Amino acid sequence: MKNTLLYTISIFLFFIVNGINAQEKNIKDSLKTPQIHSLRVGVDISKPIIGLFKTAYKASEFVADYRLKNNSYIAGEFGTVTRSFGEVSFAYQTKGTYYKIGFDYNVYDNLIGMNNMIYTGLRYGHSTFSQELLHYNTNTIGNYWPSNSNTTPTKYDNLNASWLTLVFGIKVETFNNIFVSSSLQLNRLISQKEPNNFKNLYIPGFNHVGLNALSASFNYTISYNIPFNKRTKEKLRKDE
Amino acid sequence: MKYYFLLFIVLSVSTLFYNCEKDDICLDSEPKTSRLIIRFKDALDNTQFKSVATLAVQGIGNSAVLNFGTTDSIAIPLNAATDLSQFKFFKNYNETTQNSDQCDFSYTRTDEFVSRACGYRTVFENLSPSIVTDTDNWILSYEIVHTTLNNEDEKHLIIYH
Repeated sequence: MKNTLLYTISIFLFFIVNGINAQEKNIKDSLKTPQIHSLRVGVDISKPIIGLFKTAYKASEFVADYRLKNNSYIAGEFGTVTRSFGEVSFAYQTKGTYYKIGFDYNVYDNLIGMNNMIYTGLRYGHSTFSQELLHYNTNTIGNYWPSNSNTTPTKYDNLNASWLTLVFGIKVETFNNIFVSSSLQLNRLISQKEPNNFKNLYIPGFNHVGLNALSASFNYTISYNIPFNKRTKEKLRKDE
Repeated sequence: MKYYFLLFIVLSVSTLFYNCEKDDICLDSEPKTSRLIIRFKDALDNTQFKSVATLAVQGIGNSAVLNFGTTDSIAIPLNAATDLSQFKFFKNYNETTQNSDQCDFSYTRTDEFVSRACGYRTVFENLSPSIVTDTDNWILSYEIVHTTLNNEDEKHLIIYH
């Protein structure tokens, strides 16, 4: 009876110790495993939703990032915008495409096995677009005479702009390899080709051109993580 | 700790950006469509400004009368929708001695973009006045100082009476 008890306890201990060992081995494995290089591709979901409520707004944006090192990513966005604006005394429509390319740097310390990000990044942005002045009334002091209105649209083609962007954002893995991300972008215009006798008040990808050529924009994306790395898999096989 | 720092940066920079968005209001300092600035001088001594008694101006085809009182300096709006503005200049307006002279201004127009809030303004160029001769003109002659109406900082026209 005493022997049976000792036997049972030792079997229990064996399993427990073995279990702990196994866990330790797993932790060691994952620590040894180099961070998996991965490509993440996604789409902005806020822009089509805003487009449902604003008829004068049609935009889409695709995003991608590639993990270079532990916390460093090459990142970029590509998008198209068609958007109309009615200002106090004139209306115009902007149409164009843009891309942004740069880096993201993760500052969040993940628990083992987690891939969330709180990140900051830098981008170079470039857009090619057209502006169409739809109509305008000239601004006068008082209204002694009927206002001068021009309803003949004027189109300004082949315009472009480039800018630098500071990015702050978060990425959260909700399901396996599905990431939800939100980011704020602060943009500073570096060069632009302006229309004659009009201004680029809105630039696709840059947003409203404010004073001092500054602007802010945001995106809200869902992306899928494609894990791939031959080297890592080979290394794991060797370890086995 | 560094997340708080990051959050602080995001909040402070975004506040900065929102404060920058002040281009929705058309400020008085921004250029507008300029009115025609007229100074009145003495026909006998053209170095002296001379006030016109109870001066009033009415655009032909416009029911509103611009009353200026007794003054030697006025600003009148030109019609930005056509290349010609016609006015009646009244001296001693609504008095028994009332005298009206017709003065026509022809010009060319250029619409110039100012800003998001101010939109477009009209710049009048090649200003050319002409005084319609009647039996007793109180306006005797004129002198164009600026043919382009770009701002209201200086007189564009001198009328001698």
